[in-house]
Amino acid sequence: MTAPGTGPKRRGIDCLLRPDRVEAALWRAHAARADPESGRRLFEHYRRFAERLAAHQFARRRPGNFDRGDVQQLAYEALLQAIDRFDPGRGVPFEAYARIRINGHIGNGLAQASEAAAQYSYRQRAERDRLRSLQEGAAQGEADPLAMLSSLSASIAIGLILEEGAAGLEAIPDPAPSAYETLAWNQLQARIHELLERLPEKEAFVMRQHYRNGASFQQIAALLGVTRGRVSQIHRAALQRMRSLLARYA
Amino acid sequence: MDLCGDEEMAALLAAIGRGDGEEVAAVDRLLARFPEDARLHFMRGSILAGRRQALEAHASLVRAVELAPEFHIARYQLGFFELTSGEVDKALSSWGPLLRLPDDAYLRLFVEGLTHLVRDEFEQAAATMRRGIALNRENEPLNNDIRLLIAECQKAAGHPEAGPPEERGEDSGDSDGKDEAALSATSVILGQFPRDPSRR
Repeated sequence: MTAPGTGPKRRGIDCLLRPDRVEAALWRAHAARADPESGRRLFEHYRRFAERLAAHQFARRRPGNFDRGDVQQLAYEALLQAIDRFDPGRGVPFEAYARIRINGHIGNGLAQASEAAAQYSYRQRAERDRLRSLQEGAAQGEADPLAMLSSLSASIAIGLILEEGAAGLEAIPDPAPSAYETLAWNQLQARIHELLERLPEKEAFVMRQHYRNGASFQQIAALLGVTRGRVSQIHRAALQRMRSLLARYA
Repeated sequence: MDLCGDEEMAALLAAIGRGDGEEVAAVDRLLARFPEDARLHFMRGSILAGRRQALEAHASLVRAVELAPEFHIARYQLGFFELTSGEVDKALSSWGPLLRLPDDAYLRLFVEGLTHLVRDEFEQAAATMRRGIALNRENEPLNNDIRLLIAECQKAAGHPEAGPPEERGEDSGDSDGKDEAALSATSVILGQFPRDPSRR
């Protein structure tokens, strides 16, 4: 029975529960069993707390490449870690202990996400610049679309090999199916790097800055004091020169 | 088993009564000499419960009951602590032996009343606890705690004005949760324990 205006009927146990004791009992059960169920109950107990921190962190940051759900996931991850590492016997309140970790994890996670997004965006821009540079040349040189595509692919491939070398990927076990192919690939890579040294100074500078140092066409243009379109032309000329030098080797 | 003497116990209770923040240290000093004295563990648990150090408080209450299974007030408080921690099954298990006490044992009636309460049987809970209060002539602080609970039962059952004024906390000014917790802890230490130190 509920008296008018008193809201939903209370449970008897609600008259008795004391939050500090309920919290301690969850930790006691976790210490005694340390099973997934006791961990889940602790997570559920503190979930709202983690969500409040996530909402606060989300609200105080500028809009970025993350949404509220991403921040909440980071908060949950940190909460799970905090539950795992917390020692209730030390007398420190869990929420004080976890608050620092959750806020820190959200900060780190969002910083990494921004960096990844920046790298992804650079990568996209670099690929677009390269393709445009090569397409401009192909439009002038090749009439046959198939030949044009083949020419484009070969030039892009040279660029990728240069870039791979810069990233130190040769140290990673090679997925090539045979020892012969691995050797052939390594030789090709070495040859392309040699060719880079034989390019005219300006072309070599553009290729090194772009593929080895990760500079964008825009940045190289600023370094050389030329337009971005000029860098694009130098880039195309360098790749064409490398292709013809490579053909001579073969 | 080496137990703390009456004089030392009286000195300890006086120290606790001063409330200078050194209560646990005072109990611990005696526990170092009398580690098997269940009364000291019970007092330690009660003080820590009042300070909201729930993990340590529970451990001390458990130890008291382990050392002295017939220490009824310690057993009652252990079960009550577990009930207020949301551990209903554990509480009922801790209280089990109290249900074998005679029908007119107030602790048994309090346990039965609380059992009604966790089953949402508010009227029966209040009635049983009132019978317990009527029978309890030796531990008035505990009666006060139970009166506050009865007032809660009345509210939950939708009869906030029912029962005598003291059940509604009108005279004590202790009707909110915090004051109730403080009253319980204080009553356990200063009221329940010294009035009946031999009941074990």
